[in-house]
Amino acid sequence: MIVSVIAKTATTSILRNKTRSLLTTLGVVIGVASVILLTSIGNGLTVFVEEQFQNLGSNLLIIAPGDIVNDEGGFNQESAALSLSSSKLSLSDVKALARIGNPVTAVTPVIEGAGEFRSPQGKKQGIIVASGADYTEMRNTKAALGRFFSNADVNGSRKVAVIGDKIASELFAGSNPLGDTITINRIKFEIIGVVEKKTNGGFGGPDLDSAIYIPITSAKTALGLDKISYLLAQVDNKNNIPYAKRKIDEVMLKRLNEEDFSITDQSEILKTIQTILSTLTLGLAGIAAISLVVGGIGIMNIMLVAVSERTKEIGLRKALGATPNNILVQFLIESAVLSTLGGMIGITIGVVGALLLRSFFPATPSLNSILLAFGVSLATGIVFGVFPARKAARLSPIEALRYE
Amino acid sequence: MSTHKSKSVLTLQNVSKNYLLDGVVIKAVDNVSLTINEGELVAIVGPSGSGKSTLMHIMGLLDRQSTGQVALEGQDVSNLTEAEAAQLRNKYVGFIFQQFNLLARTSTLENVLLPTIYTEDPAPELKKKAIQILTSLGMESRLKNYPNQLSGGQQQRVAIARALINDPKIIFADEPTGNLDSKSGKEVVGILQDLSRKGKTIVIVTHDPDLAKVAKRIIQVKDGQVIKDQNK
Repeated sequence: MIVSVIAKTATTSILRNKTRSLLTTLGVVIGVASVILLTSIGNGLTVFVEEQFQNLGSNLLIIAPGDIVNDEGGFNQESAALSLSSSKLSLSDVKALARIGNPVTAVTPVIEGAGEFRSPQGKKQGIIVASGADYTEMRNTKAALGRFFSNADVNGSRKVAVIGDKIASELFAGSNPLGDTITINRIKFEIIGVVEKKTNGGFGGPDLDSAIYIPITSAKTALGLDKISYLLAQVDNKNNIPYAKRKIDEVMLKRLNEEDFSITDQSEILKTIQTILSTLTLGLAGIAAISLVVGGIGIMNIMLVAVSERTKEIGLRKALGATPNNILVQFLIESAVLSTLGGMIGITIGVVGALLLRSFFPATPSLNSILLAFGVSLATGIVFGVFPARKAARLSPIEALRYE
Repeated sequence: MSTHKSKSVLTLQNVSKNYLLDGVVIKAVDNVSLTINEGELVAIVGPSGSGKSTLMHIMGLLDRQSTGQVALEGQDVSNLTEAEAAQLRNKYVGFIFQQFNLLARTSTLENVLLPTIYTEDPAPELKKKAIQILTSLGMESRLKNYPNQLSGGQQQRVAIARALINDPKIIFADEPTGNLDSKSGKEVVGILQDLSRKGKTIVIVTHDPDLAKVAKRIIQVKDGQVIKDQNK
């Protein structure tokens, strides 16, 4: 007795009941498709966030006002909200930090605030990012058109603005905004540049394409923004980040109390987010896996029905020489084929769905999740096939032949 | 080897089969001893409930006796596992049923080949052999038909071909004409007689005296016991 012949027998009986076979696999199809779709979304999110972080510049340390990092290294939301409004960071801190020198290559203060931007074409809400001239390099925020503001602009408190891509397209549609005037919170600024597009639609986080970048000095004088949101310090390379962090801590402790500032680096934040996202992905996959189990139970159900429907066939096969094992293998293969069939349909739907979703959402199907889904669906078929198959194998040939 | 005495295919010695029904022991087969010789055409007859079916099931290795010995070609087969019995059935026993028992939505040819998928060392060119057998039964033009496209008589011929595919030592026909009209029934009887003439060992189980008449030896069963065993 060759397994391949029995496999053929199993496949034939599946094909004989096409509609029922498809309906039977539906549970597995949905389970596998949702596992793939949800893990794709989780993966996509992770990739997206990583890209965003790279876009924001690397090897950066952020000195934020207040104690925003709690003892466990997590984000301390309550005190963060409180400390932003009572920021004790000052421009003299910047100078002190700049004096550290190697490995700290640049330090710049940043003020972030909400603003209303007007042009003759209309108005728009967005973020004001006020900083030093080093910001462009540190944050990897380059002007696609015109230029970013320079040290001279900062030193002269010039009312110049570099506008986000979205602001250019919405408030200055159809024209070159360079040299035009934009009104920020009722103060006129001259547009000297347009920042290259940062995000494709702005998923989560601040919409950087709706931001306007101005010299920090003019934010103070013209807009009255004087609470420094955070300081950015650039470190020459990744390996020096811990050392730089210690040095900055030393300097800052001489100037402020421990609870008045906190230092974080991008990789820490990234790590935290990655942890959150992978937990999230796992959770989503777990929920989807439940539907796989339900799918398996569906297969078991139908296989049980098939066994009692085909009692006579089983009896005949036994009378003609099929051993209990032959029957067991036939029914196991049948349920395994059913579930892998469902798995493959599910994988196709999941992958196609993820690719379709891509235009709205950063979904990336991973080979791992596909292989896992395939393996799990095969296992589902075998595990849930055992009970019906054993039932079939144990039928007595005489009883089975008599069965009507 | 000159044979004065014909070779025995199947021997039963003091075989009984007991059932427990509501705490009462029922003797479906009661101390039966008999021998089926090679080339015989035997009819086992008796009213329904006489135990003739149970007897046939034991003889065909479908069921196991409670006590007594069964020997197939002199080899004791009294204590087989289910799998061993299945393999012996596959090789040595052919069954023809009243209900034909063909697989639905399965072609004539595939139905005939069904036993061979459970054969450990199947003969070569099985398909050719199956077509040959079907041709000898006048079914050569129905190879691809499904059972529901065949008449009862044709279906039973397919079942006979299936019983012959592995060259069994003994063929059991359980009321082979029970589901057929008289014309088809006669044809099937003719086929069985023909096979018998060619040397096949055949045991027909029936309650129909007309069918029993074709046999050269008639074994009468009543209340699980052989009450008459005579050669014509």
